[in-house]
Amino acid sequence: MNCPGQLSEWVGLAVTGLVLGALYAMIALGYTMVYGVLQLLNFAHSEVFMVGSFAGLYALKWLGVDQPRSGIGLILTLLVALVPAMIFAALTAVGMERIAYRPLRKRGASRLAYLIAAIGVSLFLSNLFLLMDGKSHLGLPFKWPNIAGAAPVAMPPLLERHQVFSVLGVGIDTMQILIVVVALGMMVILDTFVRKTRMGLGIRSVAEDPDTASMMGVNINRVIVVTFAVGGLMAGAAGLLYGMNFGVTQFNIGFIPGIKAFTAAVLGGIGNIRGAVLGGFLLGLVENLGIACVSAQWKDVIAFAVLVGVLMFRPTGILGEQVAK
Amino acid sequence: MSRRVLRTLAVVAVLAMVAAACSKKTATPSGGGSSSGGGEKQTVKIGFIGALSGDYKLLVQSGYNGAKLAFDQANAAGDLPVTVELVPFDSQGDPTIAAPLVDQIVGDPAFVGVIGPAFSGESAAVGDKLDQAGIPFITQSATDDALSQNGWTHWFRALGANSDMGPPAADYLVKVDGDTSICAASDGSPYGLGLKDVAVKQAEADGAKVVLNEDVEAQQKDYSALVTKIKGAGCTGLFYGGYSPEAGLIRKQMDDAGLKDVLMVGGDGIKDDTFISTAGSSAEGTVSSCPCADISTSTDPAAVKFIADYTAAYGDAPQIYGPEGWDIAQIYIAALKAGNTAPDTITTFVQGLNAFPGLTKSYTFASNGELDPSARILFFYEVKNGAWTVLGSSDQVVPA
Repeated sequence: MNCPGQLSEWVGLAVTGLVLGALYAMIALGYTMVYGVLQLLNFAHSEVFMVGSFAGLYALKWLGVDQPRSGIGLILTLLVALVPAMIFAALTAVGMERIAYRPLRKRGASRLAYLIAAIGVSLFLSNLFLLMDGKSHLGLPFKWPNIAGAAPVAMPPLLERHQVFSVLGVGIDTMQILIVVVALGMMVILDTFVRKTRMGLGIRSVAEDPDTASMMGVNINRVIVVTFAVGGLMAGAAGLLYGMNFGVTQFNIGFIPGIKAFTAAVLGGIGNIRGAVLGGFLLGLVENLGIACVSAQWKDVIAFAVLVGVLMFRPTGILGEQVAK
Repeated sequence: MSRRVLRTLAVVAVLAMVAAACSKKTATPSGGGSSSGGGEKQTVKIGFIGALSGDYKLLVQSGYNGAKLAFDQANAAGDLPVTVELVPFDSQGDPTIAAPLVDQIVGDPAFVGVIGPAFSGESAAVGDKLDQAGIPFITQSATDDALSQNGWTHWFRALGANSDMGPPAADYLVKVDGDTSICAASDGSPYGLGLKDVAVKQAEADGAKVVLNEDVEAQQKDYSALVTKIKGAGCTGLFYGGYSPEAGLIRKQMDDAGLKDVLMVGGDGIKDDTFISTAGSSAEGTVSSCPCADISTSTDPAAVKFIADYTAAYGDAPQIYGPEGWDIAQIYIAALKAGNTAPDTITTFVQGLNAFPGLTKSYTFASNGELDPSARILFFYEVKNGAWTVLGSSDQVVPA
């Protein structure tokens, strides 16, 4: 054990942990909302995130970003890049619902079938991006589009990182502020959407009791599509921000954040929107503070130990398994 | 009833066709080889095990290309008693992928030798199997010291080990960069961990203080926790034991966190273009201590010809371990020319080499498979203007 002696080192770890937690929380919302309405663990959600990061990457390239921008140019570029990242991710999420999950739902398939379909969709999408490297594959007579491939693809540097202010001797930089602001902003919008709008009411009613909701005239199919789309929008934005924060994206970029976000959703109480946000921030924080005294290799061990610990004493997660109640 | 008979017949017919197709497939390589050669030349196979795709591809691909070039030229020259086929086995650098690939090599008597495995982890995972099968395997880039302690009699290391590359890297940090407090990190792999350990020992022996000693998980994107700890530790130099995809991200994320002034020094695992493309402009100034030869300015006619042929064949100059791949292929070609076409006689031939002249060094192997210490080379490279540039050999760069 070799714990940092200075407070600023602890604060530094907490800050990077919270930034990571904001990203986890954005992804976790997709898991938790889909679980809320369908009781489906959509493991392919990590690929929705991956698609979002690639869409954002190509949007930045299309906008000709090769060096950091500032001021209005920065804000406009960011907004323009966020749109395709979110839309393509949402389309992916809606597409997987339409192609993989709806047929299962029509046949009244078991939850196990859903789960396996989700894993299948996840593997399919990540391997599809792996194959899209501009070469011929699988004996097909055409060259696959050069989009992703096996190697990591560097994100164009849109935002110059520099310290804006400091907390207890720890500098907070522009990227960290951007991530937390975008994440919190989107969460507030989502929360309002679910609580205040008619569609939000539909989502809550389907989550509560799909049969009764359907009898009351709620269009369940539409509610489900909207739920997937909203989760996809959040994951797409997270994908772009994650790529910008760490500098690259790759066909398998969704795997680890996906698992972490799923963990965050369970930690906060799966199906519970505020629980997912809380779980995300908490997981990011625990991960980073947990390794203050031990090697960074232990990060995942500590994070999952906390999950197991919480579930032993509160099997339904911190806030319980309820949608938007 | 007739329907049932028909169905049975159909099944039998399909099975027969499948069986015929399968037997044809397995018969093709040796049969095709002998007929196309005109004479009665037998085909022998050499396996190449390493990351030919994925994150670590650029550390390995050039070695395969170099070896392929050597065998193609040898086959075309026509003075070999056999036809050699270099068969690629793409392990992606992953020990769990490498293990089943080796089963294919061990199960096919046409294989008389192996180049690789390229990495230490996969070497440790498959070494026993290859050694027990009696197939010689010569690695062009696996540098974990522990590999020579397995008692393998068919294993050879055509370069120096971590203990040759790590200490000079630490010397570079302390003596050239003047760092008195050093951070050390590794990816936790047998290669990275071993390299970090020897570098840490040397840095302490040089009088520097190692203020942070960390291991991270490979194949992640997020190294913010490590970077935060490096920042907190306040070191001026970082030694990293690991490979380029992670090193590039760590370098970039360090710059992002305001640690531009912390020099990163690594081993051979970071010296490829993946590091540069991942780290972007942050890569500038990073130093690699590498047992890979720089022959780009060599006046040796063989080296000049190799570079010209390689560039003509692949459209690019040879990268890390390209010349070493060629050298190992030449060792196999020399063994075959001397009439050794079986794995055991090839092993004996390699064991008996005495200063076999290669492009990068002269090869003499000790009984444990290690290269003779006098033949080991070490070069320092630095990223300048977006490319790895040689600084010189280690005795030129690091004062004794």
